[in-house]
Amino acid sequence: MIPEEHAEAMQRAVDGDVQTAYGQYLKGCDILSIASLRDNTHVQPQLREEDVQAAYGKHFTKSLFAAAKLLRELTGIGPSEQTVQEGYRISFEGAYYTDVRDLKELTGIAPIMDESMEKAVQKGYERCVNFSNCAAIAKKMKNLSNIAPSENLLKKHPKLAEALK
Amino acid sequence: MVWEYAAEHVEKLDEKQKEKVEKLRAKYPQIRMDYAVAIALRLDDKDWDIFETPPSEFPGMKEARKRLADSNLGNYDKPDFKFEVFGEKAEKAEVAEGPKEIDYVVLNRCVETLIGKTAARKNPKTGEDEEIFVPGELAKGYMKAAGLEELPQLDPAQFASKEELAAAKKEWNRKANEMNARNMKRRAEAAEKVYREYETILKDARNGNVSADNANYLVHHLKSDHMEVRDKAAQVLKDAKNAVPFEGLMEGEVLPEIWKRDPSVDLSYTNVDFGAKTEKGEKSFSEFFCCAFLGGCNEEAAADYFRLGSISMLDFPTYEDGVKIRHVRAITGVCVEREKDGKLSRMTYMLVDSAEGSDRIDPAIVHVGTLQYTLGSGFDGVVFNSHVTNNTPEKFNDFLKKRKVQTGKKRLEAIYSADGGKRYLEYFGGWNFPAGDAEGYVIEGRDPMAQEAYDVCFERKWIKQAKKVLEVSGIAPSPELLKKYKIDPKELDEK
Repeated sequence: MIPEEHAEAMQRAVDGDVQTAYGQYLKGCDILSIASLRDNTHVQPQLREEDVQAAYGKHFTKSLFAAAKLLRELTGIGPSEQTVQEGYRISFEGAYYTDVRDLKELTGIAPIMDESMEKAVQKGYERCVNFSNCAAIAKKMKNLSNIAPSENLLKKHPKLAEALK
Repeated sequence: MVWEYAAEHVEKLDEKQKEKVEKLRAKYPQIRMDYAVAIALRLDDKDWDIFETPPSEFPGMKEARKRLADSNLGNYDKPDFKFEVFGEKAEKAEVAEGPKEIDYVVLNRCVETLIGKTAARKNPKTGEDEEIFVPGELAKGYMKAAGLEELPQLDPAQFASKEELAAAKKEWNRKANEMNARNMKRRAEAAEKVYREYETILKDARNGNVSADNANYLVHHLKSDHMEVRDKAAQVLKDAKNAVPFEGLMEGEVLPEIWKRDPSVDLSYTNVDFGAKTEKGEKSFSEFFCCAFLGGCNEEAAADYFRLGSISMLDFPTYEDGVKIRHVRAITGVCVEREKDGKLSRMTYMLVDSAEGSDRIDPAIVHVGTLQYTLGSGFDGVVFNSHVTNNTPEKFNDFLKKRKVQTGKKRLEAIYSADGGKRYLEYFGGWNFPAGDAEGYVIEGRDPMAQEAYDVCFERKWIKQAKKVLEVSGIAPSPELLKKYKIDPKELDEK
């Protein structure tokens, strides 16, 4: 039996181990393990805001929106405006239109179409020229961003202009 | 068998692995060559630290020791925990019979046959007297595995004329002579290596002043290191077994012990399946029939266990033909219990994750040995993992089932050093943070554990073991048990 006078220190020590494990799992984007560990120990994750935001960033980059949702449920910390906008920027840049849609659905935050976001959208258009279903993707990008490809881009890639007619 | 494995696999070693083998054999001469080869093949660079770092210096070990002390389990994993010898002979005789003194005549015959002997001769060139080493069977094994070169035979059909063939034969003979010289040098070096390795003990044995420990080391290692055990060598080894006193343990007896937390010991002396062929036809290496030890699919867990202060092992070895064979190894861990709100219940449990190995050891021995250790270390209860996959742990669990040990569900957490990593314990589902709900055979409370141990001991008439239970627990057998087995309590008091 753990002596009464050591009980508190032991509790702190084993809870500390669980928190350390949460931290490691978060770094590895292993959110399911965080959930399983919380269920097994009933120790609530106490994670640092900046670590959680960094994890959201990784999740958005890797299109792991279901895990990001679970992360929000587990930690009670949502992605910050900055993290979400960065997520949009990456999604537009890569012409990942489904990610733009999922990100909006997950966070309820709309993309702010400032100069940097506009650049990202143009990069996305340029990227989607290489895809066989360029027309469909370009149309989705246009609908989601409300930004058309630049004139320079249309001149450079007549295929894109044709697709958006 | 051993050398066949080593010779076969030594070619697979790259330069780095060969260096590891050399280093290992230099640091731990008692490690068998086959194990050194197997370890070099199996252990990654990241796991090599277990040979380089004393266990007490592993990160987190200090913290683990502190937690063990704080949880009242400071006795856990201390090699000085003494068990009683299990077995019929041990019960009947206070002191196990065995040779009291070394029989040097038999020992030297064994040494000469296996390692080799020195002989005096006149140097044919100088005419001076000199001493030469005549290799024995073991040395010949080393020489055989020394990586000798071979020259392919000439095919006369490939030569257009007799002149060409003659020229090729001349060249072949020149090359063969050079190669033979190199091979002889290698063989001599291999024999020299064997001689140097055993030189001190060999000379002491010849002079009749070898220590019992060294004689034991010699005989046991010769047996385990030896390639062929079916010929003359086998007979001299059998004789040598009776030529030196060995720890008072007799054939058929089992002496449970706590592992040494020393990879050079704990990763050897085991019941291996050398020679077993895999599906691909290759010879396999497996420390145990268990995925968490060397040769298994989760073998990195074996190295990991050395670094974890609250993981330990209980070994159940016997002696066979003078060689110590570890038949069963039980992986144990220190666990605390959590309530539903995450608070610790203050109860400490020993988790027996699985008792792996062969089924040659009576499960009752593993059961009573484990209970003695659990009680002696100060645990409040024991949980035997019921989610096991191998044959031996399954048989052990069948034994617990037949004994009607209660099954239950416990929310346990192993108290590890605080690095937060995933650890391999089957109880918690394999590679996981070691915490969770799991079902197993549970004995809760010190009195129930002691009574369970007494019940098995009395049933099998193991009075010495029952005395040990009394000694380590301080709990007397219940009157019901004494009555059931007609045991006079005075029997337990007798020394």
